[in-house]
Amino acid sequence: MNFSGVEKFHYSRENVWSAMHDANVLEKTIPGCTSLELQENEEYLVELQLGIAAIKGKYEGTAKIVDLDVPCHYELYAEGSGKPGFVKIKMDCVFEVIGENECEMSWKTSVETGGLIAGMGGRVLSGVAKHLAKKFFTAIRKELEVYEEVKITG
Amino acid sequence: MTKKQKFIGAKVNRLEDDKFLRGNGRYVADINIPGTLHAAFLRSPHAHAKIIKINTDKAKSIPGVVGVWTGEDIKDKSDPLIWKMPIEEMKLSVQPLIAHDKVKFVGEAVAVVVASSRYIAEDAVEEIEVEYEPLPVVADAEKSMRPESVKVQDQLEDNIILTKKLSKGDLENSFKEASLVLKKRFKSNRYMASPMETRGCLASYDKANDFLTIWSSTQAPYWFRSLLANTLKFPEHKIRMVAPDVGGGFGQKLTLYPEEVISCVLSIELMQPVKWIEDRRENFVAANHAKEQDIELSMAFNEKGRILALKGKMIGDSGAYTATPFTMLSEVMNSVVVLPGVYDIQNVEAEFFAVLTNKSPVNCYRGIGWTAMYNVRESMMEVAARKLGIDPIEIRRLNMVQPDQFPYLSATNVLFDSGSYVESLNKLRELVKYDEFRKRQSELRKQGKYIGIGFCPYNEPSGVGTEMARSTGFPISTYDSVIVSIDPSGKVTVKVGASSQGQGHQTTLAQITADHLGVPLEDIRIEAGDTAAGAYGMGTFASRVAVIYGGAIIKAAKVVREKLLTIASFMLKIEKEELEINNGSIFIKGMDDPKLSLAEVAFSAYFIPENRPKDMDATLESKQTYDPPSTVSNGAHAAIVEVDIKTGKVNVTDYYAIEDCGTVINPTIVEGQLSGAIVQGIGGSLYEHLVYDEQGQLLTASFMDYLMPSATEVPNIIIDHLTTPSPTTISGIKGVGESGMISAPSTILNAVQDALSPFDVSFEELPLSPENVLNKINAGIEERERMVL
Repeated sequence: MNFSGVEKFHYSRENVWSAMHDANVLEKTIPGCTSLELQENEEYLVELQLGIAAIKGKYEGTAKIVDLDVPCHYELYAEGSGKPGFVKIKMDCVFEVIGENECEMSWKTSVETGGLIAGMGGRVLSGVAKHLAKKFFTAIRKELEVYEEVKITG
Repeated sequence: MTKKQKFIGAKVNRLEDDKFLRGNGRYVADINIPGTLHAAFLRSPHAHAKIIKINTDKAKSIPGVVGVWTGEDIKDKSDPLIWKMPIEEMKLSVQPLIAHDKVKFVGEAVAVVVASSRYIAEDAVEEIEVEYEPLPVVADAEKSMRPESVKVQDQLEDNIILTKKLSKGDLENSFKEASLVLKKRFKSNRYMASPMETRGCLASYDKANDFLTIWSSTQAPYWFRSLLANTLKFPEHKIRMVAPDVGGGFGQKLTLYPEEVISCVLSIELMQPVKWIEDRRENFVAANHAKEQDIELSMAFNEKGRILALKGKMIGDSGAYTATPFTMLSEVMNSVVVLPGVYDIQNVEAEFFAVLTNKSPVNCYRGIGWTAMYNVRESMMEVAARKLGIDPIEIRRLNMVQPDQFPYLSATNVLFDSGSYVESLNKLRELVKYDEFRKRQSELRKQGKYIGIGFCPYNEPSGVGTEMARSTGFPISTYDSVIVSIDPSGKVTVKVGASSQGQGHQTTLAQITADHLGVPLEDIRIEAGDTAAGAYGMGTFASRVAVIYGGAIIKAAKVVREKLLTIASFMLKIEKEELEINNGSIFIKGMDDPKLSLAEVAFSAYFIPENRPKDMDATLESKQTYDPPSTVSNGAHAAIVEVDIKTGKVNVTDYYAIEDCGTVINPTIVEGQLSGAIVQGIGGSLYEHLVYDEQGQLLTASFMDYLMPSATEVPNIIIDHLTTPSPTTISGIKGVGESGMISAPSTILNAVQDALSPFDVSFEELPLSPENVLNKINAGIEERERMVL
């Protein structure tokens, strides 16, 4: 299953980029995230608690961000599993400057599911994904209001 | 004299319905033994993956949890499920009770928790941590047959469990001489029986007597006790298997499942009763699926519409394991059996493949293998009729086995003992008012309404005994036994091996007993489904109970009746030949007054030696078996549908069935069986579909996405009977019930194609979902526009 979207931000590209790489910000903004820890291998250990229809449950998994072109392009790989089954996500994020302190993020996600999430959640999955994406970007904007830009070193 | 009683053929109300309608049925879930523990299973979310690690510590630490067992923990406590038909070339499928090393389909058990309550067991299942390493998945039978495919079962050299080619007659010349050759590939959809009662069992081991009792929602308690003993390596005479009231089976409960064996293993180990009741989510993935087949059929016709030859290639997508004991061969091999259907075709060729994939195992469901073959053959019959300018009823009449051809041996070795093939089609034509329909159809088309009519004549190999099983390629024996006994009060108990899942045996078998003993219905009790009764039988499947048990009851009743008459003759000092039994009493033939009641005779047999001949064995009991020769029932179905060409929605408005199952025991029950099967056929043709993605994930795993017909989708069903008693069976009875599933899908398919004939529509797969129908209509419109340009 594939999803995509475009988000506009009234912040500099660098600002948004670094927020999206900040574990503290991500922990607060990823919907249902109860814990997010950066491991030594640069992978995040993630715990989620989701409460929507057939995908309700606790999920544990890992996430990894691979920067392809700082601060323009990164890919996020995440996979998790819980009682309702498993989810594997690949997200491709491209940032473009569209004005002074204005940038745009285009994202494309492919999702693979298994178990009950596939068997019973299929019909609600695209709705749920849209809902979660909206929740995430709303939370990110809120964080950006108080976010102090960290200089990008990568 | 008083009127001779006649229950066979009468519309007797079902004796069992009182309890069911009052909610007093007693199913496995209703059986409560103090101290019972409850099992819940963790099931794989992967279609194919290595099991790297399982951590059960957290689950075990939950208060109330008695234990957690993985595949590794259980594999040495019992054999796996290994079963094959005695066919040399068939490869050996091995199904572990719980997966170890790797999982092979979504829903396969990975661990089992036993706890003091089901709630606790379910909570504990959630705390089991499993690390999987996903493996490449094969979810398509054709891909699975390729040499480069991943292997589903590692111990096998490939995924083809059995392939065979059978040929009879002159194929080459038949196709060469044909005026019309048609070829069609058709995918019959995977769907499943959805019994109201899901699977379930309760195993209880009695340590003091070293005795195991298992109550199970099964269709074959005696046979499965044998299989269970063999798998568990537990002595068979120390096992009692009971099928209590069972809420629907349809073939789904004709498998000895891992859960049944596991419950026994755990009850023996824990020395406490262990119960497992399947929930609907489990039923969707862990109970057997059915029907999926990919058939390519070629048919050769002469210019008059006579079929010269048939050639078929069947690929059965059978899932990850072969079910015990019917195996994955049943689906494809039964397609071979009915390759020519009701038609007189002696030039046939069939090549079949039974193939493993990473999907739920496929096993029996009403009309096994027949549905898929009828779908393709009967839709091709209508295409041929159109191309040759012959009426669809006429082309069938022309090709059918004619009245003077019986007994007829089909090219696939089925002996058609008797039947009303042509007559049933003629009767159907009258019933549907065919000529009027065609007029109405053309008038409605002018108004933009598309109605259509479809036909499908069928025959149903039924009451399969050893003779038919062997002649059609299944080297097994099938027979059953009954015990008819009369107690000192003159009442009758009939013990039978077959349990009922809703077929009405309590009524029909009592009707047969009543007439053949001469006792009233209310004096008869049918005791079924409990191996403690000692009436070994194969079980309830393949439209066999009425034929086989009917025959055995008639044999046993005759012995018991002779004994009763011998005693009565001694007591009355009247020649036995001058006496008869009717309505529970002894009469002198032709006289009105009863001379003795059965109670008096029975009491004498048990307690008054002076009242019977000195050397007589006075046990009022007889055990008889019956293994019938071939008998084949027949009939013809028609459906009228309306198709909305804007939405693609199909509405079945009227359904007609002519049924000839020989001597009818109870017309109401025949009609009930048939109606149920027709509705299941409607489900399979229009709605029900187990959809898998390429990763072997089942996408329709709840009733939200797996659509079943409800009361509003059930059309007006009109059933009429013809009666051609079987000359081969003891009773004249032929089997009944599966024809709805043989014929309904192709009947509806043909009706939809007929409704959409202006668009020249020909379907290649079922179900006829609005999407499938709309795509075909649009393609037809485009084609027409292209032709105009």
